[in-house]
Amino acid sequence: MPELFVAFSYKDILFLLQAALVTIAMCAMAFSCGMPVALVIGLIRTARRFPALRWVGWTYVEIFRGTPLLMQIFIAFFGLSILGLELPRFVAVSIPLILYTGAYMGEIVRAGVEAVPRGQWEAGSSLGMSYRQLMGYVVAPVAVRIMIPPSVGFLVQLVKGTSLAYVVGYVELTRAGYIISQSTYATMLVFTLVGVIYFGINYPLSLASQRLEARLKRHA
Amino acid sequence: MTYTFHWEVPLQNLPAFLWGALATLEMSGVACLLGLLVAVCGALARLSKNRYLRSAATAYVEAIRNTPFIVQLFYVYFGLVTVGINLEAFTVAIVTLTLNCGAYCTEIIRAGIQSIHRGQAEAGRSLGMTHWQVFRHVILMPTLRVVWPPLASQFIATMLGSSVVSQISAEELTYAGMMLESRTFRTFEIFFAITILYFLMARLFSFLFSLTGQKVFREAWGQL
Amino acid sequence: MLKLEDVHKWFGSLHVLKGISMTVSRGEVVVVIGRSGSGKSTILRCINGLEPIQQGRIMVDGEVVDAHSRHVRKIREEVGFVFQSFNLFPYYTALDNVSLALKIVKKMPPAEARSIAEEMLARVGLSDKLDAYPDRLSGGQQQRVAIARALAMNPKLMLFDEVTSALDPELVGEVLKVMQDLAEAGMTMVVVTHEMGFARHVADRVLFIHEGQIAEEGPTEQIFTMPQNENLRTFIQSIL
Repeated sequence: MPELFVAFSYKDILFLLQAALVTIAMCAMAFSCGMPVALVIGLIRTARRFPALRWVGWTYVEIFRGTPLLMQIFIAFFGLSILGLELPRFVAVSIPLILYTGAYMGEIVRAGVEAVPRGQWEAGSSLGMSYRQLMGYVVAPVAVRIMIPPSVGFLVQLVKGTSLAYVVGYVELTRAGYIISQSTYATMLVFTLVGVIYFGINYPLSLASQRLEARLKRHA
Repeated sequence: MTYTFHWEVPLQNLPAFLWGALATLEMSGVACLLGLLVAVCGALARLSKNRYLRSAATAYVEAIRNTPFIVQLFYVYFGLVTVGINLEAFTVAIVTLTLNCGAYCTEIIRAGIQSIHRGQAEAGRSLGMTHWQVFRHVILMPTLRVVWPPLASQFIATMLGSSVVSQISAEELTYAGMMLESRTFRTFEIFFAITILYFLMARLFSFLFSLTGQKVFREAWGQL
Repeated sequence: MLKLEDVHKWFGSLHVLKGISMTVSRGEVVVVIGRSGSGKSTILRCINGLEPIQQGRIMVDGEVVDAHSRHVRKIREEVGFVFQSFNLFPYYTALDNVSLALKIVKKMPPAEARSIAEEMLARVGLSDKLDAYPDRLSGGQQQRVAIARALAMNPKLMLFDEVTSALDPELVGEVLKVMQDLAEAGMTMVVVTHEMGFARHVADRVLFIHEGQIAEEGPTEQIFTMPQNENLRTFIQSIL
């Protein structure tokens, strides 16, 4: 009997936790780089005077929401290598996630801005504010507060999305679990642990999102 | 950039892709329908007076919603193998998709039921309607109207998410692409074409759901 | 001071304003009355460019109001507008609500903006509510803050759009008092209102709008004691 299978040990747990850190790092990267994209997309979708811009934003969102994330990752990953770009794997995998974030958060931004009552806009305009001043001082304080609960909810989606980097061989939590399960007998144990770790990351976020949503409703 | 695109590869293999697309639709369709059944039970469980039913349903929903689908897929797949049940990958895919879709739809239906003002049910009862009559006219139809758009979105999301089952070699659209890719190595062109197919399917179903909703509920929704 | 020349406005295919012409002199208080939907609020909103007009001309102190131009912002610095639903900024205190535009539009240094804001809030009787957020203030208090906010910009003209219609009856008085003080201090005001008592007491002139046109106008007493227009007579009877 070949000694290929080793028993599951604490070293494997450590490996999983490290991979969990990679997952979190990917989320941080995707979210922080995706927010600027989201702001642009969200704002151009609310531009009343430029229908062409609105259409561009709408198309972007429809593409990323109407196609599987798995395909987005494949295309981005292999597309980048075709373009001849030799990017570090972390970046190459983060790029589709950044664009994905841009689309979903863009929708959240748009909804947040559109939720600001018309009267606020009018009050600010009547005081002589410019578009930029209106956005920065009148709309932003209200819109941002509205955007927070769904944004936290999206983070959960993003964490789950990073698991698809598995398919391009990138070692994040899911791939780590798979690797370990291939070399030990303890497949179910490994994947239960993987599930528990994901749950441990996401459940607090889900709860936070629900609490924030309830708080927002009370205030309004 | 010295890459030459070979677009004829996906074009020549369109029939294979269309079969794959059909499989995807079959898979997601079954999963969504079964998932809906699961969801109705789940929603009722979450709203029931029985503490254990409520907790069990909540645990199910939260476990699914906070873990990635691919992990759920592996869990079910390897889990079944470990227990000695050897199902076809296609079946495993449907089971997992059903469980996944069911959890999200449970939340949607629960929220829909709760959004119907309790006062309306009371009004119905005080007009002399039986419980069943109240349920059908005051609760059921308005609830269906409320949950239709988010359910439609969830069904489309499930269809898009089904591309992940290719990882356990279930035969659907993405898997068809992977098979072709291993023969021709035209990764980019193949998956670009497949993505377009997914996009078209998603748009088509969004339109169909919108249309059905308008006809049945006589309400004008935009894009779903 | 303010001049409207044959102003027409359509909302889509609905002809809302059908040739409105009026003048308001400096220091005059003009009250606009009429049924709901007659177009009286629309006139006000066209004056400061919140709504564009399709025909005619609006001039504030000699400058043409063009709702689509950038210049309209400059005009808005000189025209104060008070809304029916107050529209205070919810996440700013009363003081910050009043001083915000001073700081960012008029580019005033914070200390100066603050002292003007304090002065304005004192004028409307809310010195003790400087640091209160709108959700802690009553409707009447919120509206007074809104008036202070508009006043702080030192406008030449103040527009009031049914500012007491959304208030509980017992809160209406405090707002009308502020408006009366303002009128007595010589502010040029155009007020759309249902408060006939206020109109009779404070207005110099009254305009009656019916179906998008000025059906009758004249000195306050004359309008109320000897209404010529049939519609106006019915309207006054229904109010009193």
